[in-house]
Amino acid sequence: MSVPSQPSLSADDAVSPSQIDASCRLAVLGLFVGAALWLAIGTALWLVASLKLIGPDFLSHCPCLTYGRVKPAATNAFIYGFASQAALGVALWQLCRLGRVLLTHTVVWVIGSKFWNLGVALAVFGILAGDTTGIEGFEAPRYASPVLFVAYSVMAVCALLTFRERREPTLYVSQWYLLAALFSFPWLYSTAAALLVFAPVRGVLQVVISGWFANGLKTLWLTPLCLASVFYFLPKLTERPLHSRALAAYGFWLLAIFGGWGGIAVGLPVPRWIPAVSTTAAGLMLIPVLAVAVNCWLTIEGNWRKLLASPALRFIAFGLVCYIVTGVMSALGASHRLSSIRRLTSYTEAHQMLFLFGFVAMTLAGAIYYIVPRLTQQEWARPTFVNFHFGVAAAGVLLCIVTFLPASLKQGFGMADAGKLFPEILNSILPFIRVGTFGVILIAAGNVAFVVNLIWTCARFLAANCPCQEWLAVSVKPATAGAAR
Amino acid sequence: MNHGPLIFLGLLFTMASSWCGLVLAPQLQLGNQQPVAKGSTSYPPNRPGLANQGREIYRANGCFYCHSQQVGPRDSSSDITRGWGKRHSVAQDYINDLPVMLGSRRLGPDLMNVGVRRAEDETGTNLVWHLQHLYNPQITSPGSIMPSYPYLFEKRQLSRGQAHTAEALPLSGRFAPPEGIEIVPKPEAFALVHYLFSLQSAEVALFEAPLPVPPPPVGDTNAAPAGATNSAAK
Repeated sequence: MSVPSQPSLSADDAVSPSQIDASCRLAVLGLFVGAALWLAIGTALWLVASLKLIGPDFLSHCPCLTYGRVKPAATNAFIYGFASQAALGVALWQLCRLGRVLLTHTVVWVIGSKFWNLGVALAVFGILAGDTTGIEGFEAPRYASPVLFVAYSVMAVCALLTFRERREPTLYVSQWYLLAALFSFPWLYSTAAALLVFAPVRGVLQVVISGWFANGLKTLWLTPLCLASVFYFLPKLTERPLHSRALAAYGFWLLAIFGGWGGIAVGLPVPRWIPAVSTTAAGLMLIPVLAVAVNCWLTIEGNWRKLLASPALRFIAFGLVCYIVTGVMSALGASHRLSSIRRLTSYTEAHQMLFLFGFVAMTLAGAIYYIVPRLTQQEWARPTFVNFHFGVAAAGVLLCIVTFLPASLKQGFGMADAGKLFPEILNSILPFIRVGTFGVILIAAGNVAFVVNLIWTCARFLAANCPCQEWLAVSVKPATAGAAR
Repeated sequence: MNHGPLIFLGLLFTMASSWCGLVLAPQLQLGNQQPVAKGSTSYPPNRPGLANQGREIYRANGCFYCHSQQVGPRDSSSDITRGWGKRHSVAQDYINDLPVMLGSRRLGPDLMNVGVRRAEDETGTNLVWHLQHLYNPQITSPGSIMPSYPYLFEKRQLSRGQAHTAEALPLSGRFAPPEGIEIVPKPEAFALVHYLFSLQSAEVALFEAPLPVPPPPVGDTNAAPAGATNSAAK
């Protein structure tokens, strides 16, 4: 009953991959270019925020560039502008390819994506202007969140229609994850917007709900979107079938069950059962993470040479390793001793950087490196930039982790010793945080290479295939027909 | 797992379970918290208007990305021993706050009871301390990584030979402005300092978070002296 009655695939109505690519070219490339622009803005803001920890007086005269505004603006630009937008593009392309269906709602989709960009712009510049809600994890001002929500709904409806129109009834693992993400986001976002901004709940309930939202945004929105790419590209690029569909289903449902419960740290001024339940769920999340890890390992095993051959696969494999490490890092929070040590230190920052820059950004970059040449039917404008991007971004992520993790443990153990003065503890971790800034600089350099390469490739494609050229040629023809010949 | 609607049904169930657990249940437990009577006043007290304006400055500039406002429990943190509060923070402390800015990372000290540590005093010493600290943290805390907030202050041109006015921020040494210019705090800076003065939460005893009993004076023993009444224990 779920599968709409479709005529069985025959030779004439089967669509080829290149026809599918052509049908979603405009929508997907539009999202990628928008994502690249936000990546540039988000990276610049992130860099400013990091440099401020080295020189606190850097740009201090401008109110909109103070640390407390730049940091959330950078995170919002990165999560909503880059990660969500790029992931939606990848998701749409996968839905079309896996469903063997042409995209037919291009105009609606493009309108939705324009509004999404408008919403992100309102959020990021609103935060810089001082209009933040003041809630960590949900900073978008009240004039930005409804725009984002409506824009998302338009795109989600198009994506679901595309899913419904599919000609391939068998669902692949990636489609489960995409459905999960498409379903979770509106629930998470509307609850947060309603209960934090428009009809705010009382007192610490705001903290509980924003913790639930921020965690859900990672585990039920960004994670499934990126895991869809992992499960799509890993078998495709290693040319081996996925090791076990049953194991994938097991991991998927456990992620869905435990994923929404994390996010409330030990030591918060809330009834103690809430962090207890939440950290237990974070510990149990280790099972779905390991299920993904084992499944992917057994799929690649024996085919490691492919990792070197395909740049896209290298990015995705790196992202997968980062995902597993972040899973272990949050699972360790289930230990009461460790979670009181890491409380209010840079541990969360390290986790967030590894998740966003290591897992999400690298996986999506890998997917984009594979998809764009198929959409534009030409190679990347600067192939050497791809390897450069991988090298510096991987080094940058590693540098951030090997500095922020020791810094957070040092701060945590220092704080546990009541005899040590706070400024003394802070001074002892500053060298780590300052070295970590070089990691951010490396990541930024990689992002610049990526953005330049993407824009260049798209511009070259436009210059060669711009529909307006034909249109111009047609409309100008009568007057200049003679001259043009 | 080839049926879209079945997957949706499963997701509906899993999503609803975490929503009930972490959104609905805490709301049922804490949603109706009311201020409690403490003698003639209630706790938490309402902030004065100036402090409320200051809270908006605190929010807009994202002070909470480096300063927490939560005193951890004695069993898992040293916050109380550090003098950041007499007791750990509980939900009751925040019921008047909108938004609640607990903070998640300490790149600066906790501010839950900063209004006690640097209380408003008649001489204005702590007011000047806070204003100087906001103007340039290096004045009061050399080596600090807190950014300076010069935009909360106004540079005023003085006419030739005119002395600094009473409103001017006292600055000396390398922080002093050039000749003929004085630095005057804007209303925003005053409001922010009054918000900091109003942060005194971790000092009031509550049923769920009593203040610790002060240690007995040296030489005191548990044995009551002969003939003494038990009144001291009341």
